[in-house]
Amino acid sequence: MKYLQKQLNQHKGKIVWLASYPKSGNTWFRCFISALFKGEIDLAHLKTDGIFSLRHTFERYSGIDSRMLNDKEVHAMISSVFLEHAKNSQHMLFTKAHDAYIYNDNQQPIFPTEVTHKAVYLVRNPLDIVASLANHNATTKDKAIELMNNPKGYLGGQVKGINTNSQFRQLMFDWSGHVKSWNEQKNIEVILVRYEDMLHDSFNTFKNVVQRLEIKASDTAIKKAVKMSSFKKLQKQEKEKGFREKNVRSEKFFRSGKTGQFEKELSPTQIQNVIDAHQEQMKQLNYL
Amino acid sequence: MNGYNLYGLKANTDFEWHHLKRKKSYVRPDVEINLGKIDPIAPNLPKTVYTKFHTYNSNCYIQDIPSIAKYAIYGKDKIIIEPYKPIKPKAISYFLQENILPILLISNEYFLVHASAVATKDGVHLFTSQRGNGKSSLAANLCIKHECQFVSDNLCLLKWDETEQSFVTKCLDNTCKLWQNVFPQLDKNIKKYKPQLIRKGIHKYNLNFNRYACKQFKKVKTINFISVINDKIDLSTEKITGFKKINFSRSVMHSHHIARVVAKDQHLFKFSGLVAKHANFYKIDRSQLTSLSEFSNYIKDEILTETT
Repeated sequence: MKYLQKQLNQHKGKIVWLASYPKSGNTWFRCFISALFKGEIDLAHLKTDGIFSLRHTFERYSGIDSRMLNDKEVHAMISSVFLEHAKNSQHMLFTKAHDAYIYNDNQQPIFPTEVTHKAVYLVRNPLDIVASLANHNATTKDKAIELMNNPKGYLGGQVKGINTNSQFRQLMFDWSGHVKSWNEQKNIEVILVRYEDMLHDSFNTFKNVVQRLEIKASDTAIKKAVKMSSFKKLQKQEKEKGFREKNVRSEKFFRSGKTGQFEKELSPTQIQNVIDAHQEQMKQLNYL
Repeated sequence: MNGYNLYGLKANTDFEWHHLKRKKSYVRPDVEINLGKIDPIAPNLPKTVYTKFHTYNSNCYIQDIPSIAKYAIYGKDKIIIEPYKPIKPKAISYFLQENILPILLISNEYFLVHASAVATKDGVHLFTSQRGNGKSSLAANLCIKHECQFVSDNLCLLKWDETEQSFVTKCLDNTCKLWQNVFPQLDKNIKKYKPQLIRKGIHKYNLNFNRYACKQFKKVKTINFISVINDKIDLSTEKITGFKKINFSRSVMHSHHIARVVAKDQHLFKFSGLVAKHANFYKIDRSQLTSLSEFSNYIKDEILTETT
């Protein structure tokens, strides 16, 4: 374990973005990272390094009450916040993000290129996201599809413009727009990981990501981390101890974790709505 | 020139300060606040801190808020503001009040604590926590439902009273500024509130406590740190003692951050020690799932009643 931690320390000042559309395996991947580097997964205190959209991190480095800023002002500052965050950390950071890869009014990416090591982009068949997203947001599947098909879709909207959520509003575009924003930009290297591969070929998929992140880990360490972060174990832990990242309105965070469930869960019309909106990206990612 | 009384400091400004009561300009002001050009602090100076948002040493403090303005405090008596683009003064005054004024006040040996506060017949109870954890709504609810007097919704100015050998404070602004979503949780009859534009598109709503504000200086009885956690827990109170109390008193005054800036570390440390010695400190865990009403009842029973 120490040799792995040492490598993280050697990369201090750098950030790995764990980017994804919601319900695409981001938390699962963070659990794997926690298991690999810390040898434990405690859902109550997940050992990765925060969430990009958290106000707390923003306010800690800027000293500014972020409730008084609009989205544009936040976007103008947030990349500097993470430059400071990276500069002050003692090891490489793994930071979760659901925001699309976007640019602020000064045409600067909101994810600072200078301190980015790489980005891991987790992608999942949008048809399987629907039911999971509906469960997470405690809404209907049709509403979930509406969000996934909305080119101006965002997460964490503020009720009646009241700017008080613990996270900023996160612009995601529609599902295809989100995928394209990360994978078509040329500023930072992106490691594309399919949820389905994480599930069906776990060891090789996680090993490939670890290698591409330039981290030397033994097969034994990876196998152990994969085992620790199995979906069943995470489900069991959530049932026993709960999970604070779960939406208070939804029943559970780790729901089924399976692939191809959409055939049972969605109506033919709902399936067609998703396919019509995202055909091009789905084909590219071998989902069609 | 405009004059403003800033918690006892006489300030002259060359712009109108949004939502502060304007007076005639002072002949001998304590501080001058003007719009102008800020010269950056030279790089690589000794004993100077450089971050993306702040640059400071014992002579100067510069805060950069991209797309809004740069603010610089020189010594004890001069502030320069350089907006990023032609901008109405009221657009920059919020950050002047929230971020720059506390530092200026501490430079001038006035001590601000980031807390809401209410008074009972026995003294003042301060509630401090991170932003967004419900300080203001708790104070409002205690005043409306539990007959407390209103002292503050965000910042309390503490004074040391030699005769009483205690810290004292009073209400300096009768209005409690709340987000709109708080009102339904307060008394149903409270409907007369006035929207106040804080910044473009961002409103808070004033609840005016006029007659129910604590206008006389009263002893500080307790300082309560509210820690909000996500889990469903029973509410719990813990009395803070020892060195933890001193560190705690420094953090609620933001003096960990500010001490380096104003180069009065020793003085601030003594002040923190005084606060720690003369006030009762409590840490209160509140579940995010606990309603404002339940939480107010708990505070009334465990803090306001217990300590009297």
